Amino acid sequence: MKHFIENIFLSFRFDMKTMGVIFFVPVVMFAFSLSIIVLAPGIVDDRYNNIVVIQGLFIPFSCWWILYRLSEMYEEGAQETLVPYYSKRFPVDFFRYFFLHVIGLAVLCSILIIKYDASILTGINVLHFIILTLFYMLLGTSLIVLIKNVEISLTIIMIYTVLEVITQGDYMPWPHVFLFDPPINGPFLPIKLSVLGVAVIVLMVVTLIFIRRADKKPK
Amino acid sequence: MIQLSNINKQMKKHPILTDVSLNMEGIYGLIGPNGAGKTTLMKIISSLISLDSGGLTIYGEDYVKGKYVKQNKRIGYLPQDFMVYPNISAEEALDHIAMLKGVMDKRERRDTVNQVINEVNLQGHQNKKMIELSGGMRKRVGIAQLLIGKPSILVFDEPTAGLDIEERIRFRNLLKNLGANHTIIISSHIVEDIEFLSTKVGVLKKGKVLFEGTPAELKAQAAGYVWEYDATVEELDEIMNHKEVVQITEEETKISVRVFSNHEEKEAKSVPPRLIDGYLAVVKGEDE
Repeated sequence: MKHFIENIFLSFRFDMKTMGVIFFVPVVMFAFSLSIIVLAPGIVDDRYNNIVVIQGLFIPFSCWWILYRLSEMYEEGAQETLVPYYSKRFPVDFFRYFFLHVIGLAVLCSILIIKYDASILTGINVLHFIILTLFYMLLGTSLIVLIKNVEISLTIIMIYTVLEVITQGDYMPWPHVFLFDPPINGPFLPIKLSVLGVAVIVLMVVTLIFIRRADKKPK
Repeated sequence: MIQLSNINKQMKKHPILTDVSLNMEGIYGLIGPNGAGKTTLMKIISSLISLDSGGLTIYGEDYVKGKYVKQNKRIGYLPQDFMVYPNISAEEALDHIAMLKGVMDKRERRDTVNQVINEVNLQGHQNKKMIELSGGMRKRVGIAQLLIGKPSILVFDEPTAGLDIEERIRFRNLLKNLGANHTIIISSHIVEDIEFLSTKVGVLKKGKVLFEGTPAELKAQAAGYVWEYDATVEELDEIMNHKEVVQITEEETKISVRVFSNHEEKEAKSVPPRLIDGYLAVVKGEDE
C-alpha cells in the first residue's frame, strides 16, 4: 500500500514534468469556478446558475489530464512503446484523475451549501455531477484513442460544451447531458440520467477496445 | 525458438503477408526490400497489430489469442524511431517506464534503472533530456527500457537506420553482446548489418518468404553468379552501363568490379559470393 501511494504521488509529479504549465489548466478552471460561486451575489432566483457553472466550467475539464496523459502514446516514435504500458495502466491513471475531480466537486458543493443552504443541492444533482464527470473523462479518452490527436479531441469537446451551455440544450437535436433547471421528479429526469449512463458505458467500451490498438499511425 | 506458421495479414484488402512460416532462433536477421512486410511481421510478433490467420509458438507454447499474439513479458520490441517523453531526462523516462512495468519499490527501481543504463553503456548521458540525445543514444534508451522487463526475445526494427557510421558500429556491437543471452530478431535492408550479426537469416519479398537458412546457405544461393572484372577507368563506364555491378574496389593499378550475372562472363573470373550476392540471387530469382 505504501508503494502504491508513493507511486501515485510520483505519477502526479511526473505529469507536472511532462505536461508543464498545461497541467495546471484544470486547477485554474477549479479556481475560476470557485471564485464565481464565492463572489457572485447570492440572489435566490439566480442561485441555480452556480450549479450550471460547475457543470459547464469545472466538469468539462475533467477530461484534460487523462487526455494529455494518453496523448503521449501518439507522439512520433512513442506509440509502439507506450501503448502496451498505458493500456495496462489505464485504470490506475483514470481513477487517480477521477478521484481528484471528485475532491474538487466536493469542495465546490460544500462552498455552495455554506453560501446558500443544503436545499440548493439534491442527491440527484450530486449523482449527476459524478456521472457527468465520468462522461467527460471517457469522452476525452474515446476521442484520443480514436483520433489520436489531442488538439482535435479537445476542440470537439469544447465546441460541444460551449454549444450546449450557451444554448442551454435548445439548439442541437441530440440527447442533452446537462441539467439547466432544478431536477424535478418526472419521466424526463430518469431518461436523462439513463442516457448519460448508457453514454458512459459505450464510451468506456470504445476506450478499452481502441486503447490497445497500435495499428494506425497518429493523425 | 519462435515458430511462425502460415501467418497471413491483409490491409485494405491488399495482402501484406502471405503464408509466412519461419523458425526464428539465435540472432535472426529478416531482410527484404522496402514494402516486403518486415515491419508488419515484427509488429505482429510483438502483439502490436493483429494477424488475419496463422500461429506463433515460443518454445512450443501457443501465443496466439484471437487475432493477436498474446501480450507477454517474453518479447520486447524496439521500433525504428524510438522516442518517448522528449522533455525529461533519460533516467527519469526509464524510472517511469520501470514503474509502468510494475517495479513499484523505489529502491528496486533505482537499482534496475542503473543496471540497464550500465548494460547499454549509457553512463554519462542519463541526465540529458531525451530530445538532446543522438539517434544512437536514444536507441540505447529504447533497449534499456526493454531490458527492464527482462524479456528473453528482443525484436528490433531497422535498428541501425539513421545512425552515423561510428554510432552504427557501436550499436551493432551492443546488439552482438545482447545476442549472447537473448534471442534477437532484427529486420533490416542493410545486408552488411545482417551479415555481421546474424546466425540465421530469412528473406521476405512482397509478404512471402523466399529463403530461410544460415548466412552460409544464403551465400551459396549465388554460387556461380558472381564475377569479378579487372578494369581500367575507361572500361568501367562500359561495364557499368551493361552489367549489374554490386561493388567497385579501386586498387593501385586497376579497378576490381564485382558483377552479378546468371550467365557466364567470359572476361571475368568467378569469385566466392558474399551475403549480399546470395540475397540478390534469391530476390532476383523471384523476379524471373
